[in-house]
Amino acid sequence: MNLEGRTILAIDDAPSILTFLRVSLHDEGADFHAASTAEEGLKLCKELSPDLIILDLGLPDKDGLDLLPELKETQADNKPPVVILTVRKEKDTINAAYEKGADAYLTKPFMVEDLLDILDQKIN
Amino acid sequence: MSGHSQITVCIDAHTKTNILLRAAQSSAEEQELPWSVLYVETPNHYRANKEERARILRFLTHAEALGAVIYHIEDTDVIKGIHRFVQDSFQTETPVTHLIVGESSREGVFDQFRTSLARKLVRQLRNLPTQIQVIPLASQGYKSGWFDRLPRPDFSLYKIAFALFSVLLAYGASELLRSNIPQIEWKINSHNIAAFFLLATVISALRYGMIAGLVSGIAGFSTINYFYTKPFEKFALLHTGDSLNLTIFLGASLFISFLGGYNRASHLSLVKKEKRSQALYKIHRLASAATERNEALKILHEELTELLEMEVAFFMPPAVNPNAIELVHPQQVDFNDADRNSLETCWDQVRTTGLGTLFSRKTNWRFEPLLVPSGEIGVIGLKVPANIRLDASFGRLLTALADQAASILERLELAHMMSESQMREEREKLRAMLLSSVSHDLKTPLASIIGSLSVYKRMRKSDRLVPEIADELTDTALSEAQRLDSFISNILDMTRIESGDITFQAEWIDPMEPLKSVAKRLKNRLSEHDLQIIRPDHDVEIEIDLMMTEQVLQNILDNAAKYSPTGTVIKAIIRAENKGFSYIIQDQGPGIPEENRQSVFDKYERLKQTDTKVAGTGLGLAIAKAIIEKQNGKIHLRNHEAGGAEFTLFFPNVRTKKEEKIK
Repeated sequence: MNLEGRTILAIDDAPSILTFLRVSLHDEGADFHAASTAEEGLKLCKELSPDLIILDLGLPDKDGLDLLPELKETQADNKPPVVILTVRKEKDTINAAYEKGADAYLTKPFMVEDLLDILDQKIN
Repeated sequence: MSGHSQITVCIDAHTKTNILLRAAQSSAEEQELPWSVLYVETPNHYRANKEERARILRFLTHAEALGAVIYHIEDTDVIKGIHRFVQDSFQTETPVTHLIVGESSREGVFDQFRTSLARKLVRQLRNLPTQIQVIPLASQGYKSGWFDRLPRPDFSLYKIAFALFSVLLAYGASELLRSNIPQIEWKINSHNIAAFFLLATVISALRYGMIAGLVSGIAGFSTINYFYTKPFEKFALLHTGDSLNLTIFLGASLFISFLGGYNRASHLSLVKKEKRSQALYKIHRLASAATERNEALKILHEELTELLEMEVAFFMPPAVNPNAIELVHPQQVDFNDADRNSLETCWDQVRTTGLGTLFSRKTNWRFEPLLVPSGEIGVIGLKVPANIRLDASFGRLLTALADQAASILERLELAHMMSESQMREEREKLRAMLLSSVSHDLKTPLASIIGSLSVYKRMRKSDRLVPEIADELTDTALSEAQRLDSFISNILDMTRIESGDITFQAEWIDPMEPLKSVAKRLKNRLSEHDLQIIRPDHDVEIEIDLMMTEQVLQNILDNAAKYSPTGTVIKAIIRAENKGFSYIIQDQGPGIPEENRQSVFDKYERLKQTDTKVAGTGLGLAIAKAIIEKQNGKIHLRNHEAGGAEFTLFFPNVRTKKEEKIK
């Protein structure tokens, strides 16, 4: 697994989730950035043009499903892959996420290997 | 054929139009054809009263709900309108092949000679291939005639005595006249005394009606004949002139009696009408205020019994069998087989039955179906006492009463159903919210724990784990595990308090006691704040459950630490008053906006938020409120002058330590 030099943005309001994501992705060599609100996430996305976005659906200021298309539209030429990371596992939510352009959907809790496998697949 | 024709039913404001709608709907279902309802609005529509127009609107809405297409057309004449509509329909894709019309039953003598609308229509449409079905609509089922306006024959002795007395007075007046004028003049004018007697008849008829008038007239006639015509003191007539006079007198008295009777009856019926409409209004007002079916039935029953002076009963289908009909109010009535038969005919055939109708007459009861736009909801029954003669207005009154009762009962039924389904929906929503919130609050810390530990393991395996990273990961996992624990405890506490599993044990204690032990327990949490305890200058004791109150104080102090900047002061003020005792906790955080001050105590409000930072804490305040209120206390939240949040926990039972010593 090699995420060397890849910019990854995680948007999640739970600091403890961001902590272990940071530790693990740094360890894999990625350039990791974190945001805990939709607003902050959108701002960072515009600034960084990340190679991949990890998105939680239950954000305090906006539903992740609404933020998803906005993230995709930040750059005209480059639509970053988005991995959804959430406790929600209803069929309707999963379908809606894929319809709005999600590239992968992982429900919490999860083992870090599962996430890294998906990231590898989507980036490389 | 199917799909290329339709069944059309023509309606007007007739109260039993529902029968037509039902007939049309069932034929449409049988023949698998679409059906429609036609209402022809003529200039008469605007002359119709408000009630009739409202009724038509109700029928149309109801039909639409049943799946009918509504046609509302205008024409100068109903027949013309229907004719035009049916004729035009043959130019469209759905010609009217089957037309249903109602026919009112023929009530009066003249109705027999009048061609009904239905028959006219059959004649008009005979050239069209449309099949016309005429459905008889029974209305009151009672033939009313001119004699209905006359009073009931009632031979009260008093009235007859009055009539005879009036004749006696007339005789007295005549005799007075005779003794006071010269003989010669009396002879010339003797026939004029008839005027005295006529006056007696007029007064009797106007005062006591036809019978009194007639008695007075005949007695007057006899008196004149006996005393004032030749041969005197004999009931016979000698002169043609006298015969003529007396015949005219008799004719005039008869006429006056009838007129007086009619006039009196009209007057009485006006008074009766006025009384009835007042009573109807009163019933409507009273019963409309009822919020529950049995209450409404009780009011209707009481008022109607008083108004009609008859036994009144309400019948409705039992919940288990919507086709049957049973007594719902009052508890008991005396019924024989004929009565029951009549009731069942009324219910099954949706028509007025019983005494004074054309159906099931062998009963003293009269039954009227309770109709609402969606169909028949019950039956009202009246036991008619033997001495009461039913007139046509009784039938109308009964229909009006039944309509009113039905609409009141329907409204209650609807309201009832609405609140039931609303409650179910609300409960379902809450359940779903609770489930998703709990799963979110449980899963987020779990995800952090599992995630952190899986990262730990992976890095450990590849031998890249440095001690700082290892600490960071284990600290995260540990604190998330503790958060999970506190969240689960909170949920369990809440459940136990709400279900009453926790019993409260109140004891008299020093208010410093719980505060001290909480401060000790939260030592680490409060290490970066300055907790100041302000106590009253005299010693008091309060009656509380120590363990539970400690938990409340802990929740609130914990919140204060969490939401106010490090280094600031948290004040815990103990305040004793005459009527109670309060703990007041003030912090120097941002405070809580006005609009959220109630909702922070609401456990469901907590569920609407997905913010993981406060997981479990929102419930903490809901628990605090539940605990305080179980001890008859109050919890109150405001922002104090300096801006931070201020919680007040109030307990009603307080005493000074001295008091206890005296005791």
